[in-house]
Amino acid sequence: MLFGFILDFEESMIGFLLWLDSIFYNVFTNLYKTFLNISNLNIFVEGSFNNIINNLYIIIGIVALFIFAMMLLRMMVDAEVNKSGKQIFDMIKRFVIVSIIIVLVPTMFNFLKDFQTSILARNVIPNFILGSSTTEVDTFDEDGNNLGKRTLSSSEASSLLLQTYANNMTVEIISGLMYPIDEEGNITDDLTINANKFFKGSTKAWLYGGLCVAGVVVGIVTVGTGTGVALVACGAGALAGNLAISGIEAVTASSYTWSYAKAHMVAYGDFSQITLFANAIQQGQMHYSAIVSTLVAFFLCYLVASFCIDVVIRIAKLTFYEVTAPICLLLSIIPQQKDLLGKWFKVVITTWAEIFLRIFLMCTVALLVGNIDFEALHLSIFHPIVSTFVICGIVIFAKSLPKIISELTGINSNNMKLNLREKLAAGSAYAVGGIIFGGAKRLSRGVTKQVKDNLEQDENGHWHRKNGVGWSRVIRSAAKGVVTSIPSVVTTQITAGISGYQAKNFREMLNAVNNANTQSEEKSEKIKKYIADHGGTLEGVGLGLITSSFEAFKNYIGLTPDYSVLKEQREAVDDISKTLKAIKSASEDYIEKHKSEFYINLSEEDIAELNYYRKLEKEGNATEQATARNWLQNFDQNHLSNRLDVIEAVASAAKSGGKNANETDEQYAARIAKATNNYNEAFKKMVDNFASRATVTRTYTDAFGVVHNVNGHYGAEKEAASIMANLGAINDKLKDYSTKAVVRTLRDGTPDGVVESTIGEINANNATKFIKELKNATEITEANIIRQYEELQRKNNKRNGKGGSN
Amino acid sequence: MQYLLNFLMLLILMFLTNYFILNDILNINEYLKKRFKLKKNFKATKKLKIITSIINSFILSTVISLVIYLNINLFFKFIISFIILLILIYLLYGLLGKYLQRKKL
Repeated sequence: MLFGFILDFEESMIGFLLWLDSIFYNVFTNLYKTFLNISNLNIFVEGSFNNIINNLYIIIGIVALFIFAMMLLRMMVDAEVNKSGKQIFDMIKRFVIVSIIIVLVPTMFNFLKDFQTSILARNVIPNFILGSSTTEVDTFDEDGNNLGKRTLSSSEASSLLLQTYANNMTVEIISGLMYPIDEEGNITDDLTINANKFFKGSTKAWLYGGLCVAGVVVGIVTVGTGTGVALVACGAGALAGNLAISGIEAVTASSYTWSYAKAHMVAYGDFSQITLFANAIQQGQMHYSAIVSTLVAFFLCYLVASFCIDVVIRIAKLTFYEVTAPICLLLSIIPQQKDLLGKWFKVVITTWAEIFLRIFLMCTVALLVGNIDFEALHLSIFHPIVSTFVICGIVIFAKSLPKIISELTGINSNNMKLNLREKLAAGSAYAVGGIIFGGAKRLSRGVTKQVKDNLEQDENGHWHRKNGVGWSRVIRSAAKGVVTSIPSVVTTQITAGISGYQAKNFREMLNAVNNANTQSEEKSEKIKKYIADHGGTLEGVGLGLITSSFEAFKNYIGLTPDYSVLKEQREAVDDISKTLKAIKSASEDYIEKHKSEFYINLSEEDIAELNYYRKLEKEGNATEQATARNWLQNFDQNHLSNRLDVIEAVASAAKSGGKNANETDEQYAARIAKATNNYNEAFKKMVDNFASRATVTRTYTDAFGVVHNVNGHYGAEKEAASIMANLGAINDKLKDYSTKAVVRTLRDGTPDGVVESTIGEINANNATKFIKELKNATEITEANIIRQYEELQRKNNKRNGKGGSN
Repeated sequence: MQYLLNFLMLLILMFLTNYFILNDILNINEYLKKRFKLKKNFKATKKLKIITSIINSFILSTVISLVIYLNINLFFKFIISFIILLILIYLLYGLLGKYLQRKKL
């Protein structure tokens, strides 16, 4: 019982491997057929493509002729170029030869195409190497009985011929990997063996029975989750069980010969025939190189898939060589480019012959695998291992064959590489992968982000809908996620596609996808910031975009100020900004230390009178001082609430005094905010006005009609002098810049307008205005000036070999 | 109208080809220098590069537009093109050379 079970299991396993082999051989046959089909095909559309090619041919030809004509004319006037005097005659001679070749090029390419088609259609290389003519095939009746051989007529579809060639090639390979052996150990194709379909049912039973058990187990395990997985798993298990029973029922038996199966495979390409011999292999009636056969089949698929890509590349290459023939040929007339003609011929012929080298390679593999002397190998008791070594050796040899051919023929073997991964990379497969994965990842992130807003996580880390959120809202948010992600998906796809194009393997492609997603997120953040910076309105963003596009256009066409001009602008802005900061700093320092001297909302007269009495209090005689003190006390009492230190004290008191009894929290917070705001505004007002207040001399007329000159702010003379010095510096700079081209030329229509309007009455406010006008005049923001300046400086450094940024 | 559009498209294409590729290959300055005996320190400016590109693109697009519609053998197409090319190059560069001589470059 147990022994019988083991035998069944062994047969099932052999059947399974044979089934795998049959799939790989089917794929190989179809790929080989595709390879032959592509080789014969003209992949470009006949009519319009030919017109385009002809026009391109003329355009490229005339451009090449133009170069030749220019060279000829130059030779005629330049004695240095035509030193020997013979060169012109040589060129004309070559011109005549090349002109004839150019006219013959289309005919030559047509001849090469026809020649190739006839070689492939007649299966010349496989017939020559494998020594079999596949124009004769077996025929079968409806019941599968062999009716003998018949010759395929030339009128039959070429696809049938190609199919037969491909089938024949595969059968040659299979013959080397599995063959019947009689009782004496001789190999004989006509040995009748019991081929049955038991393994089919058996394998099916094993596979689906396993799936059935797995489905039920998953169903039991997941039944507690209530997610419906259990139901699906049990359903799948039941279905698998049903299939398993049908597999067991499918057991039938029949007799078969290996030669009959081979003929059937050649005629119909049905490689599942090999699976019928599982029982015979298990019984020892047939030899089968298990696993090795699968590996060989896989390698052949890999080989021919790689060649299919090569064939398309070859067609494109040949088309390119044909179109660009006039360039190479006409340029070869020029003495310095003499070798071009020979190179062009060599490359055309090599590319054309590549197809035959590939067919030769495949036929060699088939020849070697199909003609191993297994009878000799069977002399050894380790013959299964020896056979495996022999077949593996042949496969390894096939891999290195391109290099050997290259060494023997001198043809560059780079084009004969078998590395499918490199070809996929070169063929932009990873770029396409990048586009697909990049888009999918970005889309999933966009959707997840939107959906997560409606979900919340519990303490166990499980996600649930938020209270009051229905499924419809979740679905709507997912839909919103899809729609809002579209722009970023497209940009991510572009970035991932470009990076993927440079990827050499799958891992690099995934890295490119991740980087593209990160970049896309950063860009989204930048866009959000840009929108916020431009007021968040459509008009603001639109205007911003138009302005920046205009600036970019100006940059592109070279209207941007040059390095020196930018430098001047940068210096102007920097200098004046620095001086203004110095003025502000001086004002702030003084006011901070003398808050009790400052009152808000005073008229010019009040300021003049106040400062007159302050001066009198310090510099007058005793009577005057007493009078002044008295006046100042009265003034202070009348304007106490306007005094800066009192306003600050009110704000501090509001903060430290705490909440009133009948005051709410909001009222208390509002009171503090108002008091603090009052102080801040008052302080700022004082700082803004200090420069003009401290530096301008006022006049005060007393009760007796006497006019007194009064300092702007008594006691702040030193600070006033410093501010005046700074204002003077600004004045000088304004005058300086007013004469410079940077200001004049960049302001359209009003050459000196910027400075003329402000130079007369110079003060801190006007300097600020100047900076603003300077920026407007140049239409460049300060940040832009700095950016462009630094960019140019970096380029300059690079050019001078300093490297790095400034 | 269609022909004019084709010509303009060709002109732009040829201008770009000349400006970015052919100008550097042809070394037209040397030709101008030798043919019109310009000063030894004569150097090509950006303006001259644009002018020569315009001339070249005009010559090429004119010849291509003329020849592409001729219903004759390819060999004769190239022969006719070559003759017209030589004539146009000689004439138009002659005009440019005279202009440069007048400018005393």
